[in-house]
Amino acid sequence: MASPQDGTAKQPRHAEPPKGSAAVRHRLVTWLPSVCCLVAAALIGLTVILPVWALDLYAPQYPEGPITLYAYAYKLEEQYEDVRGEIFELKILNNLLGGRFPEQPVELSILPFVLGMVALLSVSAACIPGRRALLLKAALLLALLTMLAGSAGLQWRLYTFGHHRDPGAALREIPAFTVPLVGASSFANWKTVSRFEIGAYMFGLATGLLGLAFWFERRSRRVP
Amino acid sequence: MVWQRSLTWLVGGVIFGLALPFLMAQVQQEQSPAEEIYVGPFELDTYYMFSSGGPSGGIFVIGLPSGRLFMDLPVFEPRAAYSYAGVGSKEREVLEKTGGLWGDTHHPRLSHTQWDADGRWLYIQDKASTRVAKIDLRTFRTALIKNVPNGQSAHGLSVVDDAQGNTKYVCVNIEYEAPVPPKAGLPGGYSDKPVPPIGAKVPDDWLSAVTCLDAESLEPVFTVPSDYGNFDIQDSTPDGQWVLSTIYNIERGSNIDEMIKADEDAVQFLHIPTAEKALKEGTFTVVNGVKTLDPQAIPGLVTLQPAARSPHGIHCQHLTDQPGVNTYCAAAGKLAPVVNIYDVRGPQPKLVARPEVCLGPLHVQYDGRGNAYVSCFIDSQIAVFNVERAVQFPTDPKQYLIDKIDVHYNVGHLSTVKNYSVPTGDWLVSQNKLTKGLPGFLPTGPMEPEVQELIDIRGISAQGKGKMRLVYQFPTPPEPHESDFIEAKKLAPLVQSKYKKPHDPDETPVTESKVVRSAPTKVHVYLTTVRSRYGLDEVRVKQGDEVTLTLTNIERVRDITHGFALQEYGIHAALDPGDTRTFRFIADKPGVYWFYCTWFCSALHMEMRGRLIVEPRT
Repeated sequence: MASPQDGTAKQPRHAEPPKGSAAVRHRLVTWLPSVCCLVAAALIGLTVILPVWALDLYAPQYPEGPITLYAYAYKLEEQYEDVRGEIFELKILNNLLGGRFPEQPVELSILPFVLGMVALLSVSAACIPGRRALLLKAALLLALLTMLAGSAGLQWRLYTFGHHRDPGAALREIPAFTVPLVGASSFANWKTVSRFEIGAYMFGLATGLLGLAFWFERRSRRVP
Repeated sequence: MVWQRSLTWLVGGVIFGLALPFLMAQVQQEQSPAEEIYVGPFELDTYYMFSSGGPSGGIFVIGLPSGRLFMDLPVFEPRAAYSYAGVGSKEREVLEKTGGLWGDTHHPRLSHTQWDADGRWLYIQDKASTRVAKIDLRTFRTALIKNVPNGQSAHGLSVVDDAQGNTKYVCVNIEYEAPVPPKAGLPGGYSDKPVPPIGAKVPDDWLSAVTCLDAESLEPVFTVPSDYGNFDIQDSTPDGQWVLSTIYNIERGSNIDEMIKADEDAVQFLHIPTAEKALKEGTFTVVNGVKTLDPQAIPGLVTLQPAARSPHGIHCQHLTDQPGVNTYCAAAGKLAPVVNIYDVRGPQPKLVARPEVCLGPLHVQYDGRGNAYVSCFIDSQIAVFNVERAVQFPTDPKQYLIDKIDVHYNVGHLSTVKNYSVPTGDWLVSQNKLTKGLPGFLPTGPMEPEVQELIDIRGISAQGKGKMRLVYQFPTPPEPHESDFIEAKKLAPLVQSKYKKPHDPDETPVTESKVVRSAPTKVHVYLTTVRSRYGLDEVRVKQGDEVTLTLTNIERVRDITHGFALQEYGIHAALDPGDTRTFRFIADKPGVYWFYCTWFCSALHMEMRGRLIVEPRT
């Protein structure tokens, strides 16, 4: 092994660990993208098991608090008082309203798969340094697309629910309405507040980390 | 001069301005009665009063000070609206088996934890069919009904606390003398010996008794029968050591002429620790399955003290600042114008004073600061006296009598708030027997509504001074006897809003609506209810089928009750969210019978129906 003081021997690039601040920078540049990718993959894992969106429904005859609809990547849940589980009360209420909503929305079968793809791409980017830039580009693109398509799809569902209602519904005179993706609205006797939930924030953070990894990866190319 | 006049106005203004707060304070002190009892929208009452209903067979749940009636809680009689003991129900079977579809309730008592009402159980007796019920205050439904064996007429009732102040026994007075053991097969349990004619004494083996039941199971723990006379009202001492019963008809007569001859009747003091010791030592006989203690054979088990005359109410004083501590108990003289006061602090209770109070004293209640309130039936008044002073100067009414107030009319029971646990000393309710066209009350035919009168007793001081004040009158269905109380803030959070499990632990909730035939003439129908549909729109059975119908309300939202009324079969259910009920009937009439929801459940309530088709058997 050649001594570091021996300036005569021609060393291959990076075979010699740099010292001081250069060493720190070097370590950051090599490890950070991988760490970012792995953390992002873990966060995407959390996205799948945590709710991504919620809708609080308030009405005078529910003085004890709102009925909350939770959207997960793969299922819908309802919370009323201390009971959380399958959609129950909202189905009963929809008997009056006749809002159109499929029993098993197709996006809830696709979304976990797509999220899995993003996670897989992130893990691959962490493990295959040679293809990292390409893999990261793909992961980022898919993640941003998922965000965009997911939000647009949900807003479309909310629109069709309020607009294409069963013409034979008990309360068919209620004017068409759209519950917004985020924010407050009202229809019939209901006041609603919709918001992104922790899962969405996790996914946002994961996407940010992928972006950061991509940025580090680009920088590492420039580091001599 | 202008400046002088200005100065006068200025000085006058300043003085008036300074005096204004004092003037306002003076005005505010004179609060109107309306303000004191007004409970505004969204406000809780201060107390809930559980007032027994006499022959209404249940309990009235009334808020104080507002006097608002919250619930006419059925116990010993069916009530369709609450789906209690309806046709084909298990509850009805219990009622029929234990005596009948009505009751005569007199003495409600709340269970205690550390000497205070805990809002868990409410006990009530039925004088008519000699039974006791336990009501679960989480759901306000009757949890248990049991006959008290070996006797006729369960009248006085009290709860007995252990050394930690937690309710251990529910004791009842078995009032009417009957042969013990009862002779099976003879009407009314009469013995095979010839019954002596009216005018002769009742036979020696016809006994009255004090029977103590386990507070959880209502199974008899022990009974102490005797031939002393008729046990009337009952109370226990705050420390749970003594159970006191007034005794009238010490003469053992069979009709009124013989029953009121003696000048002295008695109060029986039953010593609970001695009874428990006898049970442990085995000095009892088992009669008809009940451990029976003989007061003649067990020294110290009972102590009799004289009481004038045909006494009615017996009530012990609880002190607000010393829960569980004994002081005095008092028996109202009824036919004698006196109150018999017993000192229960020592090892042996003894009569210490007999102050004259009024005509027809029926019951005594306390304010927790040393004063006793007496209902005077004949005088139609409530009298208040200071207990210590009455003991010190029993012959000088000026020393002990504090105040008297007119009530309308003929007060029976009176109830001070939390008299039986930790008295609060603020309100007294006069539960009057007669209304007699009282102005302000709609005379609902010859049977008039009963009146309860709210009396402010905050003005009666611990020093034995002050005035009572009548502030409110409110009607109650017939016929309020006495009451027990709990703070609204304490009880309200303990009450369930939904059934997590069915009220009846033997019921299994229906998850799938279906019709299952288990035998050629046996059908089990399982139905769920949810807004606004029954689990099946149509149910088919065959004529003559023995139908078991189990209903589950699968609603999760509080207060969404669904009904089930079946035409021409008399079946009615009302199910609260999460509850399951089973009904049995014979489908003997062929035809089509609609069933429908009786509790307005949603905008689609009228559409909530289905039909039972009873196919004729060929």
